[in-house]
Formats: sequence, structure tokens, C-alpha cells
Amino acid sequence: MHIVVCMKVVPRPEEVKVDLATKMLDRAGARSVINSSDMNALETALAFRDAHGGKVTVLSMGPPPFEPYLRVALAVGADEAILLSDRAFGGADTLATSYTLAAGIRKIGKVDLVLCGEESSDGGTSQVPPSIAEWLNASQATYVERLVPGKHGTVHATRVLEDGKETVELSVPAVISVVVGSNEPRFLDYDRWAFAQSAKVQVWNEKELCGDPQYLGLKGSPTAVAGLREVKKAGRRRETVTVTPDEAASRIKAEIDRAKIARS
Amino acid sequence: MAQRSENPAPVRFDDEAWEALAATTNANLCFQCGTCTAACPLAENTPLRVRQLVREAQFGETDAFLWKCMTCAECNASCPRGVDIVGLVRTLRGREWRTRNVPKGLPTLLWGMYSDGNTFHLPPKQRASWMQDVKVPGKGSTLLFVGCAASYDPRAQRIARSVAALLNLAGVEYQVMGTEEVCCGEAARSVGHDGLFRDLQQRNTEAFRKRGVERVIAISPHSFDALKAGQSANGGPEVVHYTQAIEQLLDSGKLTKGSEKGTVTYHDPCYLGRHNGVYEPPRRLLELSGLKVVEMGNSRAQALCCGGGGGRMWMETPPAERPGTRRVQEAAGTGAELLATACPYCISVFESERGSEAIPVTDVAELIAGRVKA
Repeated sequence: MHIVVCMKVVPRPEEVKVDLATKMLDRAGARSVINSSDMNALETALAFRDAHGGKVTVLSMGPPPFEPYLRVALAVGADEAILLSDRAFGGADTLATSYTLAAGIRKIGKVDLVLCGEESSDGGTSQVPPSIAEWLNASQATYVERLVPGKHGTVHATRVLEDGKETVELSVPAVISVVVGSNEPRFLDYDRWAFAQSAKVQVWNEKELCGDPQYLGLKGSPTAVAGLREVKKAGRRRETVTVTPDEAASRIKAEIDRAKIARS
Repeated sequence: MAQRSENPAPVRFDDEAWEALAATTNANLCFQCGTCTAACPLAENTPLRVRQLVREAQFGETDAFLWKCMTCAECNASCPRGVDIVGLVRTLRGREWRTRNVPKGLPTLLWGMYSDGNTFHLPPKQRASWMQDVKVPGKGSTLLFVGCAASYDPRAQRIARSVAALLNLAGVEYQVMGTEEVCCGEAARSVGHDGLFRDLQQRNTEAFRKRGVERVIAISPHSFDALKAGQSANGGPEVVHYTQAIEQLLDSGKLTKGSEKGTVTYHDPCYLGRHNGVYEPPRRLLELSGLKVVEMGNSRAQALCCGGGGGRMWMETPPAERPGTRRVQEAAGTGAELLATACPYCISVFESERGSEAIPVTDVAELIAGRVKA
């Protein structure tokens, strides 16, 4: 199987600030990182490839400085990397992003599985994976924690629901969004470092992507941030009690129950 | 917990792997006398048998309990054939990374070390938070290497502040790297990941060179050991532990004895004692405070490990297997009023595994800072 993993480079959630005046994220002081659930998607893809064969390609949309992060993915175990990069892609909302990624996947050609993280830590909409599936007219499963091959070229995906789990059978091509924390991403393989540094990361611009310009970037983005307000954090009550561990446990349980009643 | 199989799979020889092991660790010289198992502090409470581990390695196999080892080096010290069993354990662990057969949590630990430069998954910009109101001269060719624990762990930060206070008291010129310091990589080496260890070593070597560092004072014995190994290989600066640096200040008359009364017992950290033979400096510093040092039965080369080495700080140890509890009991048994040591891991382990023992645990630097004079 040929698996494409969509990967986004995001500012570290704990280091990012919101500029209330411009309603934009202030990334200046924040370091970048590969989106956490995208790493889980990559691990799912690599484990699937290692067990059942195939190839893993990482695909990202973003400016040229994203390239080193794709090389990290190559050092971790991915076989190929592609960066969709053009000023025309800038300012994209989830609709334009999913369109651009879908166009990239189409250009790759024969793809059996597209794996994405469940959501990005800086956007947090979870809309991109299902939208890619729609653009590609592929089957889809969201919030997947386990992926195994099924019969007749299908895959079985186990989804995490609010009150249980559900295993669905999908025909390929399929787009899967992977639950954050569903696995522990393998560490860099330093033996692959030389390969990762010298491998060609393909960069495709607007022209090479052959997409419809009206669906790209800011032009293809109907979403606008209408308002933004600061929500005050609930302060900690910081109560200290000196009791035995057993008493402490019952006390905490009682507090949780009381909080639940208050909320319901 | 992993169990030994009743019907193990047939043994396959891997000549190449075996030759590599033998060349670096002398494992071929082992004649299975079992002295290592007798010396191993884990033999009593865990299924790890060092003799068996070495025998399995000779057959190209990896022991099921490989990851329990704390790399305390009691086995190395006792081996009559000079086998580097700690080196063997690290090499065998390195092989497990290739097959991704490593304990849960370790890849995440290494990701943090790689991208954050520390073992705490905290931003590099918080690395200087230990300093608070500490004034660092910020000049000279001596560098105080704080290490991850003393930079980020609020408890261990007190050690860093005490060491800095002692250096300041003696008027030593030194610099710190602050937010630019990165992990020494010892945790990566302990869990067998040589690639990351060398990567971090290189980052530090470059930083030392750029800053014109000729001498490094390490706070953690783990940093001391790792940096020493890396720098001597690269022709880098001299690396000493802080207890050695402060002992020199004592010898040169820059610090004078305090008048504290009472008793203290000293726990030798494995990476200061057995790994590097530094036994006297911390004891002399304790005496400098005026306190009387009372020895435990197992001390110096026979000291029991706290249980935090060999990457065990990042793996869960069942309560019945924790050597730290036993060690605190031994310390309390001496009747000393204080248990002192010179390693942030040991302190962290003792304070969390002390059980019902009330003996206060302290670092040598904390104990003498404020008790000695210039």
C-alpha cells in the first residue's frame, strides 16, 4: 500500500500567544513542532508499512522553512517527502487547505491510504481530514486508534467514540484521521540521518499542482474570524488538607462528585 | 512483567554483532563465575541475573530483564575478568532500539531531549529559572554546567543555587550557559541510544569551544561522567564534579571550616564513586561544615545504588524492587542526623522512596553553603 501522511508544522501550543488586536496567533516567541497527532498518524503509517509492506510519503503545505521538519519525518522512517509551497496557498482556511492537500494527493497518483492527525493544535477544527476525503471522493474514518488490513484489499479502522469504540471496514482509497496519543511515535533513526539530509524533498508550487486558483489560499477561504475574546481561566482553589491517603481519596472523590452535580 | 520462556526459541548466532560486543566489552572473557550476580543489588529483589545476561549475550541473545539494570557498575567493579558489563548493557539496549523493542516512554524521553534539549519536556527558555536572584560572574574560562535536573526540577534547583553560592563565596570567575545549555545526553547513553548521545555531545562541544571554555564544573555526576567521556574523546575542556572543584578551593584556602555540630552519613552516587573514583572530595566537604561523617556498612566502592541510574529515572519500578527504600533504611540505621549525597537523581529517589524513614536528605552543596566562610 502507498500511504500518504499529511503533516502540519505548528507553533508549540504552550509557547504561542493570541494577539487580541489582530485576532491572529503571535508565533514570534514560539518554537515550531510537527503537530502532535500528525506524529501519531506517521507512527500508524510506519507501523502499518513495517508489518504489511508498502511505502510512506509525507505531505505538507507550508512555507519553505517547513522543509527541515519533513526531513525529520524522513529520518524517523518515511520514504518520501513532498512540500506544497507557494504564496498562492497562503491564508488558507480548512476548505482551501483540504483542497490543496487533495490536489497534492491526486498529483502523487496511486495512493491507498491518507493518514492525518485528528486535528491541528493551532487550528483545532478537525475539518481537514474529512474534507480531503470529500475532495477525493474517498471513504473516511475519523478518530482512529488502530488500523489493520482487512479482506479483499480493505482496511479495518477502530474509532474512539465518546462512549465506546467502533471498528469499521473501509474500501481504499481511504482517508483516516488518527487520535492523538494513540501510539508512541518512534524516535529518530540516526542511521537514516544521512539519507534524510540528502534526500530530495519535492516542492510543488501552484503551477505544478494544477489546481483551480479560485479554491486556493485566501481566495478559496470563506472563513473569517468575526470576533475574539479572552476567556478567564478558572483559578485553582489551592486547598490543603492533612489527612491519611484513604481519607484524601474519599475527599477528592466527594469533591469531583459535587463538581459534577454543579455542572449537570 | 516479562517472564523467562519455558520453551525458548532456537538460538541463532549473530557473529557480527557478537564480535562487535566482544571488542568493546570483553564479554568473550566471561567464564561465568557469577561474581557479578552476587554483587548486583537487584539480584535479591528482581529476576535480573547478570551472569545469565552475559551468557545470553555470548550467544547473541538479549536478556528479558535487560532494562532493569541501573548501570550502577557493582558488577564491573567485581568482575575478575575485566568485562565491561555496563558497556555491554548499553550496547545490548542499543540493539533493541533497532528492533523498536524498548520500554514505553523512552522514545518520548528521547524526543524531548532532541527537540527541547532537556529530559523534562520543558521549553529551553525556562532553563535558567534555577538562577532566580543568583548572581553569576559570567566571565572566565570556567563553565558551571547545571544539567537538566538542577535547571528544571524545583528541588534540585536548590543544589545549583548552593553550588553557585559557594563559587561566589570563594570569588571564582565562571560562566553559565543559561538558556543555551543543552542536556549532557547521559540519559540517552544509559538507555543505549548512542546516536542522540553523540548529537547532544556535539552540541555541547561546539558551545564550549565558542565560549572559550577550558574547564567544566558539572553539578550532576551523570553530566560529569557523560561530558568527561565526550570531552576527553574530543580533546575538549577538563571536566570535574563540583565536589572536586570546591575541594580545590578548600585546599587553596579560599574557604574555611564552619562550626556546625552533629552527624551526617554520605551516600556515594554510582556515577561519582564507582564510575569515576571520586570518594574523598564530598566527604572532605562535609567535614568542612564541622559535621562528623558516619559511614554506612556499604560505602565507597560497595555503596548501594539509589535505583535512578541507567535510565531507570524514566521507567516505573515496582515498590518491592526499589533499592532506594533499602538505602534510606541503611542510612537511618547509622544513627546519623542527616543523609547527604551529591547527585540530583539520588536525592529525588530517596525523597520519594524514603517510606517511613524520617532522616532528612540533602545535597553536599546545600549542606555546606551557609555553613562555611570565605
